[in-house]
Formats: sequence, structure tokens, C-alpha cells
Amino acid sequence: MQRVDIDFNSDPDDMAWHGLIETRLMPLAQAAGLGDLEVFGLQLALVEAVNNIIEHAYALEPGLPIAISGECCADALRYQLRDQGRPMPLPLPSGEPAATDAAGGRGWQIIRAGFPDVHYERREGLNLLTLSRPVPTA
Amino acid sequence: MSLNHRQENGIDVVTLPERLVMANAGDARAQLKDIIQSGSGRVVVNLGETTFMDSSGLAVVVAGLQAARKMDGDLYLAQMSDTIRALFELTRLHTVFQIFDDEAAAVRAFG
Repeated sequence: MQRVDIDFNSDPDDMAWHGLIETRLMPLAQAAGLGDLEVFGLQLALVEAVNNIIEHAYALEPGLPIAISGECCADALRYQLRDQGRPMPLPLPSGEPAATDAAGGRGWQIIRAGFPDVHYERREGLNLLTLSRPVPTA
Repeated sequence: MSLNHRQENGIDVVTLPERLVMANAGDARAQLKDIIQSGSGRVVVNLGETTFMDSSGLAVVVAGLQAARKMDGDLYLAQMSDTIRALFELTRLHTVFQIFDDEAAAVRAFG
């Protein structure tokens, strides 16, 4: 099993963390045999999940901790996002497509398109969002 | 961040940045809106330099489309990469925009 951990601070005006996701976490997906478009979809889904943390859990406040662990097992690729912000309202959004003329509301559609298995729990003041998808078997 | 903008035959041609994401989407949205409202409402958005866009970035072009149509104009997209096109298809936004392979074709389409 391969595992990678990254952490950074929330900052609604910064995009340096995009580079961490791309260069540290996406190689797991590439090594799992996913194609370029699939890897792009996963990267985008992780960006949307972090956007949600920054915007909703942390209400755009900078300097608050976000951590992501990625691991690739024999049959699944899994990323867990952790933050100390407000709990996520339940149930989680279904990811139904937004109206085509809607200004927003596409984040969860993108997250669920990349990761069919989404699990959320609140534990000891932490939000734990686990995003998983199967990987090609040899 | 400043959007690259020029006019060609009365059409506003705007090139979006390499990354259009939550961190710069608000700024881009305001600039695009100003460009559209200062012009004829006929706009070509060139995505040739854009390699990554999130849902905040999509919201920028949707807002641009709405602003252009409010002026009885339109907003066409051009030079989309395969990955950006995949994002538009996933969110079904490819059904609401006219999308052209190159900028010149998009400008010509305005007649």
C-alpha cells in the first residue's frame, strides 16, 4: 500500500495548495493506472472538497489547518480530508446536476463524479471526509 | 490578476488565466462583467491558456454568458482543452455555450 500525507493552511486567496494536490497526491492515481482524464477528475474533486472546507467549514478564515491523506490499496484509491471547522450539514449533497443557468452548485456533482464512495464523520472536533474509488485491477 | 482583453470587429475577446479557481474567480468575474457591460455584449472567451478550472471558474463564464445575453449578445467559448471540455460535459454546460475549436472561428460566428 502506498500512502502520502499533505497539510496546509486555509487561505481563500491562495492557490499554492493546488500544487500540493497535483504533485503529491495525484501520482497515487497515476500509479494506480488511471488515465489522464480520470486523474484530472480526481484532482478537480479534491480541489472542490478543499474549497468546501475553506468556504463553509472555515467560513473563508485564513490560517486554519487542512490535512489530506492519500492511499492506494490493491482495489481502491482513497483520500481522507481533515479539518477543524464547522460540521458538515447532513445529509451530504447528492451531487445532482445543477440547473444549467445556475451560477453555482456544481461542486458536489464534481466530487461525486470523481469518487463514487463518499463517507463523512465528525470525530473529536474534526471533520473527516473520505473519498474513495475503485482502481483498475491488474 | 488582469484578464487579457482586446476588441476585434466590435467583439470583445477575453483570454482566461491558466488557472481559474476559487482564489481568483471573484476578481475574474468582476473584470469579465466590466468588459461585457462596457462593450457590445458580443464576447469570445478564449480558454487556450486555461489548464485548470473548478466550479468557481465555471461560475465566472456562466455569469459572463448571462451578462452578455442580458445585452442581447452572447458569449462563445474557444480553444478548450480536452480536460476543460470534460469538465463542461460533466456539468452539462456544453449544452448552453457555443464552443469553437479556435478563437477566429468564434469571432467569425458573430458575423
